[in-house]
Amino acid sequence: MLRYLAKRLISMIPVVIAITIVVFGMVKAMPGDPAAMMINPALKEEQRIAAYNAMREKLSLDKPLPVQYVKWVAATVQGDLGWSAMNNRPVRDVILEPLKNTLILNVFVTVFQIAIILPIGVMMAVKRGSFMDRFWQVFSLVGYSMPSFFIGLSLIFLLALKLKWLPPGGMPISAYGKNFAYYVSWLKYLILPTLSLTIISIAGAIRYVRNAMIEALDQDYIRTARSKGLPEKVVIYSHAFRNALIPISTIIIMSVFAMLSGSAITEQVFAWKGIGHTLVLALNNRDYMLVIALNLLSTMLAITANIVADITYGIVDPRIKLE
Amino acid sequence: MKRLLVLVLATALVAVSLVGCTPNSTSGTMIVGSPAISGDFIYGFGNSSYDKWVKDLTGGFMGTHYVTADGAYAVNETVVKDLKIDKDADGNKTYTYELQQDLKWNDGEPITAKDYVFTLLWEASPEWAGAGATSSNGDGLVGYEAYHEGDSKVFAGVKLIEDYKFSVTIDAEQLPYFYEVEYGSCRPLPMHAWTVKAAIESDENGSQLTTTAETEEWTLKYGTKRISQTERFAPTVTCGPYNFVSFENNAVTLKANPEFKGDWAGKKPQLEFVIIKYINQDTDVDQVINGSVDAVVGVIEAEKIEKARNDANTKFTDYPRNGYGGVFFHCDFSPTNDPNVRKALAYLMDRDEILKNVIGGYGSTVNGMYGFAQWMYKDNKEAIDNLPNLVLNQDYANDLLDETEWVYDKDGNAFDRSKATKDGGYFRYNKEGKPLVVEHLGSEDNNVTDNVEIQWKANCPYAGIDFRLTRCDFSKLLKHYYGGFDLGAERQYNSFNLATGFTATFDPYYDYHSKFYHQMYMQTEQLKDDRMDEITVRMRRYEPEQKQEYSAAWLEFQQLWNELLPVIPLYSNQYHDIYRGKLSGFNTNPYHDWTDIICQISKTK
Repeated sequence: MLRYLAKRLISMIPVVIAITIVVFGMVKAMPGDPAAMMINPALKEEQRIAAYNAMREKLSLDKPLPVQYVKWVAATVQGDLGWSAMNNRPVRDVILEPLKNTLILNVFVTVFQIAIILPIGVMMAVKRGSFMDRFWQVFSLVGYSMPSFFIGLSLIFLLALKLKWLPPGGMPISAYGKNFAYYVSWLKYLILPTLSLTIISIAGAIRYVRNAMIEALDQDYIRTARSKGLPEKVVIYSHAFRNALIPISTIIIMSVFAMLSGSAITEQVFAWKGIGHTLVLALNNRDYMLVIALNLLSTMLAITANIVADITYGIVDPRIKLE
Repeated sequence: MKRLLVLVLATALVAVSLVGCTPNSTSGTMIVGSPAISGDFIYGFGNSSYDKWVKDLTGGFMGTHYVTADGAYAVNETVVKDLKIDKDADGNKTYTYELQQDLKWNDGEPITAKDYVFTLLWEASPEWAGAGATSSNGDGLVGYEAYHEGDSKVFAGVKLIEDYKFSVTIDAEQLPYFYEVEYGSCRPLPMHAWTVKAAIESDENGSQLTTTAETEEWTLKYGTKRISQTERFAPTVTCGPYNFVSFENNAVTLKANPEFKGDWAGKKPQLEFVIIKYINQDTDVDQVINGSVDAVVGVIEAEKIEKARNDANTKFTDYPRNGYGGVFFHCDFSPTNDPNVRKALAYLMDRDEILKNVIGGYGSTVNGMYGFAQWMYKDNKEAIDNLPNLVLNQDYANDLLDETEWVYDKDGNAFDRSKATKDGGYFRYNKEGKPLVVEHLGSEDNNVTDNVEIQWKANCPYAGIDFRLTRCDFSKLLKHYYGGFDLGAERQYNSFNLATGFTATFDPYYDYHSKFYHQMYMQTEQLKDDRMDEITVRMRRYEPEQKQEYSAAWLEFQQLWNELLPVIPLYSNQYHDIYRGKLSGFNTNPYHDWTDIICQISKTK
């Protein structure tokens, strides 16, 4: 296992280098001048030029692109992700809070996602063609087809603006201190974005679970298990479900890691200060270093998700040898 | 089991009761919804308008002057006990301030003359600029250049006289200047907190900041750097009506400062907490109606305004924008280098239609570079209202174009306006055979761009103008707008749709004097006109007390501006500040945003 991991990690190096070049190149190709955006427009001409040049130097924009790239890679390896032009502070400091918020949100989404897709997906496969199966298939189709902003805005309109049950977005406020009530208020603010992301994530995943289970239930060993007279629950959960776990675990792992890189649209709709929201702001403000760091985070998460999925295969299916 | 059940129920009861106590926008707290907040909370860093709210609420209000509701400067008597203005033999003007002695920082320390002198020594220093701050504080005072460039450790134009008395001297070179108060006004910074081991040495030659510490830690170089990395993000010792509490999860929490003496009217804050919170702008007014936030400001969308107006529990204050959106020309680039071409283009659009389409009628059109709230406008209302009105008139546009070089058709014959129809294809040419092409650049997803396109595409063919429009992202638009003159062969565009605003200091010198022609970010319309040079200089050269003369010159400027028309003003919004019915005193105006009048705002339970 360790040897496999080491091999995978080594094989990641050229991929990561290629990704850094692509991400860096794409972001640098964006139009706009971040140094100019950071300068106080009220300054006099000479002061503005001096401040502009100083800012370009600070952001290393005065160097040729290859030099900027090498400097950036060297600094990134040492944990220095650069300077956020939009926030006027180190990128590392800027992304900590959104990362925490995205993690919190996605812990809830993941829990609900797994708690919903597994039993319902399995039931849909077992009761193929039933009303329940058809209902969830339609739900899946509609949920998958609807844009995420529409789901978010619809929930806001219904639950926040019309029924006034929940806040329409935003995050908890700690004006009165971080007491028990403050932490409880997180739940209030979490419900709508969690609901929105859960709907989006289960809409697609539920079909994968159903299909994986249907495939497993059609196998010869299931017929054998049934002919042996095993109880249906044992057949479904010990034999079929276990074998359906490979595609299911892939879907779950990939979606969990994808969500960790933030959901730009949902976070924006609910004014949730997560990674996705920060990325949108960074793009709008031409904050190159922040955009690069967040893109790098997404790609690293995707690569990690692949490795985790591979390892999970070995755990859920003993026939797969990672060596 | 029973015990466990009781314990669970008791815990749930406590949790529910605590949730019931969860702070919301009830008595004493006002939540203001805002677009993104960047997090720079001291003057000199960042240029976000929303960060400025925090800067003003925490670090403002103790300035020597304030802006009145009609845009004039006045002495802040809460701060200034006495102000003497003297002129010396060299023409320099000295403002000598005697401060009130009951002003305090939020940590209880007194605000003294040292703090005002310190601000100038700190913010004008090269070290502050070196720490990344951008400030022009102190500019215009005697000795500024030498001090700011680091050639002198002494700032000659700033003097500490007594504990509660100091002076600043405006350089004669800057005088006379109608807005000289811009140079002479001052505000404090907490010297005792920012540089604990510093001292100010002051004599007849000026003032300098020295340190009594043996280490470099407290020198300007290290001090400015330290403040730029600490106070900048979370100011601790401040003088405004509110103390900074936190900036977390896109919300800034501020708490009333009990040491605050009062605003210019002597009023103290009435709300205990002010929270500025990032909200989705699509639902901002809904959130006020819903009660999630207490106020959103500067709303311009008609649909949202209607919604707020129709809600019984929601109130609003509306006021005209101190500025306008318009079509901005490059006056150095053919064919819009000819004022008659620019004017013809203005007469080829229906501005009322644009006003209706863009802002749903919540606004008005202007015919000059003015806002309805300016005292100069009020002084000259009749004359300004009689300025030539830019209304759709294809015949007059053709008359104007007949006065330009664009008077031929493709074959070199005289342009015949009767052949110019809505189908286009019959264009004006100059004698070199160049067609009259106007290239407009507008930002994407912008209904002003769409409306400009509709109007000019419909009307330009009647005047023989080949109108072309390109859409791009905003940064590309700014690149061409600011730096068009420097783009060489890449230069392509004549006009741009943008918006602008005015401050209390109406000084068009930097906007239109030819001294700044072809300078990046300065004279953005690239106008070169002797009469404009003369009037913009003359407007500056009045003494502050020559209000009538200034006002008359302002009118002359507006008439000339209307004649030269570097910009077609399209619309001036009617801003709506929308807030819950529980708030009162929300009397904002073009010169006072909600932070300026925060001490008037209260909330009933």
